[in-house]
Amino acid sequence: MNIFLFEIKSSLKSTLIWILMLGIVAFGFIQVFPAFYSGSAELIKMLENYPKELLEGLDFDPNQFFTILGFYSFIAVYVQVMVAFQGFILGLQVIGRETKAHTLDFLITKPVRRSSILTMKIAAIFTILTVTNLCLFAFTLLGISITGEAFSMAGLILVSLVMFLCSIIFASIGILLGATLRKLRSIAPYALGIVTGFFILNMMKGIFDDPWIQWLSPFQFFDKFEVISTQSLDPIFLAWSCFLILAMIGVSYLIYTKKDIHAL
Amino acid sequence: MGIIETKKLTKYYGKSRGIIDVDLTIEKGEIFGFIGPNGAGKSTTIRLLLDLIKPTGGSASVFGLDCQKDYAKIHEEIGYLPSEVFYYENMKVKDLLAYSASFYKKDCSAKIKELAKRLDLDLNRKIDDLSYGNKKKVGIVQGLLHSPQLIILDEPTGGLDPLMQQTFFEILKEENRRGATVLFSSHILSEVQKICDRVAIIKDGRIIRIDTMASLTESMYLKVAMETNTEVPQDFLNGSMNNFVVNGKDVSFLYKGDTNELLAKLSKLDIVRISMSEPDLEEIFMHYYEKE
Repeated sequence: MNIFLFEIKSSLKSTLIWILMLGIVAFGFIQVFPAFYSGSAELIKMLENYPKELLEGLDFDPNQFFTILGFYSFIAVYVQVMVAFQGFILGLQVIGRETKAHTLDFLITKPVRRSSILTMKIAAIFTILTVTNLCLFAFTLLGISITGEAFSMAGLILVSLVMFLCSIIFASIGILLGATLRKLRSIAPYALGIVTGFFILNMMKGIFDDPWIQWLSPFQFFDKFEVISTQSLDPIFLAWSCFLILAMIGVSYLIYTKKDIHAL
Repeated sequence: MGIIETKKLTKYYGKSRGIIDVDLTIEKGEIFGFIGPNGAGKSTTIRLLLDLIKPTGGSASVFGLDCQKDYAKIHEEIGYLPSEVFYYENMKVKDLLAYSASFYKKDCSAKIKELAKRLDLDLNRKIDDLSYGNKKKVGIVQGLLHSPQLIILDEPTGGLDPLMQQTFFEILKEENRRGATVLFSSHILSEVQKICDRVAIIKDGRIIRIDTMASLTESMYLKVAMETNTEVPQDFLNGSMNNFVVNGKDVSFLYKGDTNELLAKLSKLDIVRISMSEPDLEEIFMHYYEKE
C-alpha cells in the first residue's frame, strides 16, 4: 500500500495539470458547437469539395458532425490523443521511476516481492487514469449541458469509455516499456514517438482504407460515430483491447520479476 | 548454519565472468570483510545475495532461506548500503527515510533521529541539495533505520570524511555488539583491517582465501627496514627473506620465520636504525594476488 500511496503522491501534481488541460480542451471545444451549428449549411456545402480520403483520415462525417455528440466525437479524437499521451507517460513514468532515478537498488532490497511492487504501481496508474477520465467525463457533461442541446447519455458514456480504454492501452504500452528498459533518461521522446506513431497510423487508415490498420492503432479500435449510432462497443475490438492490455501487463510481470538489476 | 551461505555460486553476464563457484559461510555476529579490486566479483556476490541479479549456477541462502525464493522475507532483516547512492527527485531527507521505514513493521523514528544526530544529517533538507557525502549519510541511515540483523555494505565509505568514517565504524561496531552481522565489501584494505574479524579475498571471480584477520596477518612476513654500516649479503637469512632491496646503507626485506633467529642475526650487524612491522592488509592482498 505504501508504494501505491507514494506513486499517487508523486503523480498528483501532473495528474491535476492533465485533468485541468483535458477539461479545458473538452469543455472549450464543446462551447464552439453552437457557432458551428449556426453555419452548418454553408460548411457542409464547402466540405463537399474536400477529398473524401482527407475527411475519413480526420474521422469526419458531415452528417453526424452537426449533432452535439457527433461534434464531440470529432473533437474527441484530439482529446483521445491527449489521454493516450497521459496514459503512456504515466505508465512509463511510474514503472520506470526507479530506472530513471537509479533507485532500483533502494526499492528491490525492501521486504516486498517484485510482483507486489508492480501490482501496487499498476493499481496507482489505473486509479489515476480512472479519476482523470471521470473528471474528463464530468467536464464534457457540463460542457454539453451548458449548450442546451439534446444528447444521448448512453452515447456520451460509451464515447468516454472508448477514451478510457485507449488511455489504459497506452498506459499498458508504457508499463511494458518501463518494465523492459534498462536505462531511461527521458520519457518525452518515447511518448512522442509511440503515441504520435499510432496517431499517424490512425490517419493512414482513412487514406489507405486498409482494414488491418484498425487492428494496429488503438485510436481506430472503435469508430466513435458508430458507437453513438449503435449505442454499443464492437465486442470483437473490446475483446482485442482487453487481450492487448492483459498480454502487455502479463509480459511486464514476467520481465519485472525476473530481470537482473545491474550495478551502475 | 551460517547467516550467509553460498555454494558454488556462479554468475555469468552473457559470456563474461561475474563470479565462479563462490563458497562462502558467514557466521552470526561476524564483521566479515570482502576484499578484491574493482571487477573481482564483490558487487556481483552481494547483488546475488540480495536477489538483485539471478545466479547462473549454485545456491545462496541468508538466514537459512533461499535468496531467490524467499528474498522478501530475507530483506526484512537486511540493511544494504550500495557504493553509489541515488534517491528519488524532489524529496526531503525525512520523507525518503519515512518511505524507507514504511516497508518495515517497526517504528523506526527514534533510530532515524539518533543516527541523523550522530551523523550530523539535516532531515529537513532536500536530497537534491545535499553533497555526495551527505547523500551517503542518508544511505547509512536508510540502511540501518530498521536495526537489521544483517548489514551489507558495498564499498560504503566513499564520500565520507575521515571523522565521519570514524563515526560510521563506531556505529557499525555498536550494531555488531547489538547482534548484527556485517558483510563489508571494500577495496580500501585499511578500513577492512580496522573493523573486520574475518576476510575473504576474491580474485577474478573466485575466492582465493578466507581467514581471520589475525591469522592472515600472523602467517605473513615481517617487514624489516634498516640503515646499516655493514654489508648485508643476499643469503643473510637463508631463504627466509623476500623482496630484499639494498639502496646504499638502506636495506629492506620481508621475513618469515623464527623472530628470535632474526634478532640473533641482526645483532651481528652494525645497525644505525631499524623498524620492524607487520604487513598491512594491502601488502597481504598483493602477496596473494601475486602468488595466485
